[in-house]
Amino acid sequence: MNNESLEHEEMKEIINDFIIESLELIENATQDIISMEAEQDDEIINSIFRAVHTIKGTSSFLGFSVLSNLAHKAEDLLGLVRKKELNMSKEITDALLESMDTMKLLIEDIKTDYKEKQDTEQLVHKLEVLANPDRKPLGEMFVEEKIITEKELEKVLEKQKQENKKIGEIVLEEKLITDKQLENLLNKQRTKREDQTIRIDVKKLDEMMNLVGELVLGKNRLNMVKNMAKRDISKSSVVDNLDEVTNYIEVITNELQLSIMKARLVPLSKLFNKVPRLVRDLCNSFNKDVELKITGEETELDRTLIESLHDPLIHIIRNSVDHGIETREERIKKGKPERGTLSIDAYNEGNNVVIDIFDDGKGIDIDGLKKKVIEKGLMSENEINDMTEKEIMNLIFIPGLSTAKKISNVSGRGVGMDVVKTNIEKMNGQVYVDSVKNQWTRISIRLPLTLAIMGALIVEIGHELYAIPLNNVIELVKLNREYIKTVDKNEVLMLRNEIVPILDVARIMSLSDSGKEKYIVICKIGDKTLGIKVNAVVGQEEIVIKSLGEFMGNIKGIGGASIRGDGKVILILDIPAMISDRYMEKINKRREEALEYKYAV
Amino acid sequence: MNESGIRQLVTFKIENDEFGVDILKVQEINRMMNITRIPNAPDFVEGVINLRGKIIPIVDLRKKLGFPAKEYDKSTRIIVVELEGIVLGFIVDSVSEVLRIPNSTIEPPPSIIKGIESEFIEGVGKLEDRLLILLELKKVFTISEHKSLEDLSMN
Repeated sequence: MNNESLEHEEMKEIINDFIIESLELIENATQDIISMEAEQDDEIINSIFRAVHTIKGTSSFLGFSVLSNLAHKAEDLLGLVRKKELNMSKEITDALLESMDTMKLLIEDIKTDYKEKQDTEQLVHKLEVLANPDRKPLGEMFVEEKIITEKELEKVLEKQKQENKKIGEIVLEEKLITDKQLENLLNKQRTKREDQTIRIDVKKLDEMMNLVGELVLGKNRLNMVKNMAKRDISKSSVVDNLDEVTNYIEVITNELQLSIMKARLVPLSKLFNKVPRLVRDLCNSFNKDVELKITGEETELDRTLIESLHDPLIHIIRNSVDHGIETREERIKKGKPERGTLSIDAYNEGNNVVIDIFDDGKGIDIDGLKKKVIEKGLMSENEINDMTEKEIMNLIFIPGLSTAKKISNVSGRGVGMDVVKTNIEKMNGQVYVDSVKNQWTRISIRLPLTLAIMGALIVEIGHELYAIPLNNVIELVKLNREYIKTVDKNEVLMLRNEIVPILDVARIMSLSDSGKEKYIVICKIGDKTLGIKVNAVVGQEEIVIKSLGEFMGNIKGIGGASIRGDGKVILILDIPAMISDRYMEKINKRREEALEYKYAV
Repeated sequence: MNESGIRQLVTFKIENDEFGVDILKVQEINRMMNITRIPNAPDFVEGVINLRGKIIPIVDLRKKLGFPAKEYDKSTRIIVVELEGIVLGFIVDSVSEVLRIPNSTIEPPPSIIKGIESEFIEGVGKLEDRLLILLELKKVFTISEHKSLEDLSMN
């Protein structure tokens, strides 16, 4: 800044205006950055971006180069966040906040004697690295290029700390590298991995996924033809070749399917990012004190699933904070830590993603829940007494409880949980609850990685073939009449000292019960185990899920259809819906009876 | 009804009656295919077929219009139509021909034609020696159909 020009009152005034305006902008931007941590909002990013951009422009016009350079780097970083090329991470937030603080100090400097005294070099470097996450530290590159050894690098880094110099300068001073080499490396560092990602329209990915689906069907068909050829044509080199090429195509198709599926995966952080803010707001409105812990936000899930998961997840969290976790006073009385804990953990389990939502609140009051279910006439006392504690807990998901507001005071849960269950089951997922009264509640959501293609067991029931999703199946047993007992008109299977109820699919689906069943498929839905009698098991196949179309609407018990290798349509059984149907039947019956009773009295 | 006053129809037979549907609605005509039955679906829904990788529902027009059931034979056809974005097929005894008839020969439906609900009928075409029943496909497969399907699936 030229001192002469400062003689002019006019200039002073401009600078004073600049100082006031900038401080205000920085103040607002700082708050925005903090709120960004809780929720990525485009509008907020834009406003931070604009603030920094204004500071950059004005300071550079007034000749405050240090400030303008710092603002410039911060703007670069923000630009990437704005374009969604970077996600707001803790590091980015920290660096931006540090930038705001430093800018503020610089402005204070300017205010006192128009001289920028703050050292911004390290901060600028930090911003640069963040804006270029794939950029490797120069030191590492030196070692990689075998210019210096790791030991030498350690020494250099030590020296860097003491002398506060750029690593390149030190290496030059130590004569470990020539000017030319350094320049090349710096260029390399800048350009490295710039074109590693491209943005792609989701529609295109969907299209690819559909095509791969068709390819899988084609592959299945080829397999069938191969098997026919093997059976019908006596050994010949043609059949051998066919066998070979089929296997080859099978492997390639599977790989292709996997990689396209992976391309559609999005980390759960996209969804979890919103949670801290939500919990904060909920805590404020319900006067609760909750510590939120999130793990596994890097777990990936199909894009469409992430979208549909939003509402159920928010609902569960709301319930946990509102009804689960007690107020501070209550917690102290119970001898619990003052602060409640809500933790959300996501992880992979086989081909599924599991999300556990855990709170150390009041848990589910089983007796209260039982009472309510009986009172509402949803089930009889006998029925409930036959159930295990876990089964009773999971009654929070049945419809009919949800409309009653009172239940939430008794059980601490139950508001709209049936909707949560329906939504998750729509995604081929499962949800169940576990709890210990006065201690904790854990709601687990289990989702398949992707919707479009899944493994299935092909079975024969009645005279038709059906597909049972493999993620429902736990084992297959031979049907032995000795082990089948009838309890209260329902068949059960004695399986290794365990009693497994048998789901009469043939009856549910109004199929002629041929009595020719030879096997029982044991399925696990949530925490329920059940068996399905089948005539024959054809085998395991990759199936592509297709909808039955608008005209047919939703047929309970059928999750969709797929096309087999021979071109025939096969229906996919929706076991979770069937058992909820079975429950519904019982519940509806009870409800009617209860109503009749009421009117009779 | 187009300006030239001529309509093009695909005609087909059920029992001894001759029907016509607007050719623009018809996507294709197929021989009988392997139909997968849908449990719990209404009676007139025969099931679904695989039409070149797409799954489409098949309705038995005989049942829908109240004719007695009949075994499928080699003249049985599936007419695939598109109605407001929904593709579906219906089974007829046989497909006859593509006809061009002037609008002037089409008369509004009489209140009852041989027990077929007249709301399904757009009009009756009078040809030289025979009558052609023009079906209003949209009404044959109406929204209430969806409702009844849904109801069935709910219970």
